[in-house]
Amino acid sequence: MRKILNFREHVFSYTLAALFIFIVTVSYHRFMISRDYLVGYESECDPLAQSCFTGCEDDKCSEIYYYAHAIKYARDLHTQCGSDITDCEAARVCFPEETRCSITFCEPKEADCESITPGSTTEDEEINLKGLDLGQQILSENNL
Amino acid sequence: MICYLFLEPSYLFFSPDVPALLYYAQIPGTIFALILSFYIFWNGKDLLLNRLVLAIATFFSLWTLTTLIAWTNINADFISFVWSFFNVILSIIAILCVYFIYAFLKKEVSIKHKIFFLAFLAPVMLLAPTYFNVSGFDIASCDAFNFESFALKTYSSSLGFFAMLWILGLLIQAYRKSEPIFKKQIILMGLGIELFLFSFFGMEFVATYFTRIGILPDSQIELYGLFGMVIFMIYISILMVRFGAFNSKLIATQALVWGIVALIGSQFFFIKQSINFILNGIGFSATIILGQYLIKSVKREIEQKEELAKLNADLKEVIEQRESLVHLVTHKVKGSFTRSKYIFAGLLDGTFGPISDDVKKYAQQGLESDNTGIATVDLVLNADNLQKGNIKYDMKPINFREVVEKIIEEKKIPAEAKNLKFESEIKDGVYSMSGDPIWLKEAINNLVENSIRYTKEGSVKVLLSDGDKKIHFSVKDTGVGITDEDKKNLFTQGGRGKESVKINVDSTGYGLYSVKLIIEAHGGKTWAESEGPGKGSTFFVELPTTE
Repeated sequence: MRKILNFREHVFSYTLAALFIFIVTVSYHRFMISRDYLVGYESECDPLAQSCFTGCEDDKCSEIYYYAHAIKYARDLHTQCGSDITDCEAARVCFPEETRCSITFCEPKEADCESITPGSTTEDEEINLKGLDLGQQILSENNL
Repeated sequence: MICYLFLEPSYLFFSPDVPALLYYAQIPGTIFALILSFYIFWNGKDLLLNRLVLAIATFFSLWTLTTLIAWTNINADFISFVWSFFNVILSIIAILCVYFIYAFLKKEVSIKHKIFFLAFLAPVMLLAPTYFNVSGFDIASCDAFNFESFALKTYSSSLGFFAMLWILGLLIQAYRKSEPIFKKQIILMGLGIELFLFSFFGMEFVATYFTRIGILPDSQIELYGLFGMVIFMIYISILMVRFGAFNSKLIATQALVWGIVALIGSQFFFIKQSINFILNGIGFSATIILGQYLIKSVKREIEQKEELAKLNADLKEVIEQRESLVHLVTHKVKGSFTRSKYIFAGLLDGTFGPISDDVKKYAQQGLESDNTGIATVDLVLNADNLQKGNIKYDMKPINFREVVEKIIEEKKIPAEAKNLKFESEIKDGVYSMSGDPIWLKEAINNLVENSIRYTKEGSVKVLLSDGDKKIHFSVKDTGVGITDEDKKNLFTQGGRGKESVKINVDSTGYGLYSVKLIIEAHGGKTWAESEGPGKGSTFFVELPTTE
């Protein structure tokens, strides 16, 4: 009876502490062990062949670079590239078995894009197909 | 996974490419808050208020740590992990602040309140580890802004503003009912906690939403909001030092001083120019010297305060004992007077058989003396009961004119017996009011009797009129008058005028005090005017009418 009364008195702190420990444990497992989240990054883009987003190399924008928006599942990306994706070929493509992967190129109707071949804009699905083709090419090259 | 465009920090968050002062000035402030709150907790582990200060400071420290990691670390797994706590910590701080104010105001926090608090936290806590909170991380910009839930973010920010309003409401409500000394504490605590919440949630809100809509390039402005905790802790320190809140006494001042020393000392790690190093050194040394002086002064003040408090408690006890003794004595004296009165009355009415004319004369004098004695004791007892609030007034609709007419009728004879001209003037008007006729008669009787007693020759004039929804009563005499000095003590407990004592050595000084208490209990006021000693006096009463 005394224990029940004591719990009623401290119901806020006990529940809060229990919930906090629970979410720390679950979040730790999700992000640090399972890597169960998506990773967004700027993937390489060739303005001669694709419609690319542009970014500035410095504050004065003296030099621009081209990129496509890429999103991959963190666990897949880590398996393919390790911790650093800088020189990772696999980061530029979506492989067939990857369900949560997309590489989005610029949509000229909506944004300032850089493309040498106007009108060659592709829809997301086409982009993903292109990404898949490229992915299959890399897989066969590396015998993966 | 690492953010490939940024440099790796050392020790989780010490990065070389961030503005050091903005980012790392939070650390000493947070350590100061933690030390101070821990001292508070240590000095009263069983007090809810002390435990809540520690809880707020702990979650605030967690917020500082997670924010610094998010802004400086480059490990995507780790940043995503800490990012998932942002909404949780924000919401917990908001609710803890509300809980803290409940404890500060000594309001009861029922189990329903606690469940209510938990219900507010439930959405953010249960959804924290899921995709509904943080779904991903952008390693190009090294943040998760584009992957965090807008709904949960809005919820936790709104909770902060809701907490501010909730706290404001509680403080205003308590301020209205509090004693003056606690009112000051409410203002200080209110300012401290509202400024803390405003800077904390305000900056967080501005940073997040202005960045989201493109007004700000990034949300690093939110780091300024962390200074709010220092403000909060300073207010808590003032409350501890000035009012002894949190029961922490001297140790809190020591924590404050050494916290500031640590704050200034920490600047040595970021200073690169030698002149700044020297200036900071001077400031550092001066803080230590002045801090020691402050600690000594506070120690002395605390000792004096404690001594005063002890003396005050002793004095209160003595006063209570004296009051109890006076009460006992007055009752005993009244009993003796009453018994003696009945003996004299019995002698006079022949109960004890026939007596001689001489004995009759002495018995008459004895009876009159007993009546005066009983009246004096009654006056003191009545004043005491009126002051303590032991009198329950029987408020009902009355005609104040009738009360005054009765007094005029009763006092005309004793006034004329003193060869005084007794005049009265009652103007036509509205004299209906809500009051206790017995106590109002007592008050008016006191005033008229007073005028008759202190007037050797001349006249006493009673005047009754109305106007501005008020009843105006006055009694004017040509008696001893009142000096300016006596006017100040006239309506106070035991206050007697120098001139009045010359005429009436038996004056208790409780008559006018009783009048004041009775009239004020009826929503009126009373005062006296006199042109000076020997020039007579006028006593006024003003009462509200019911029309």
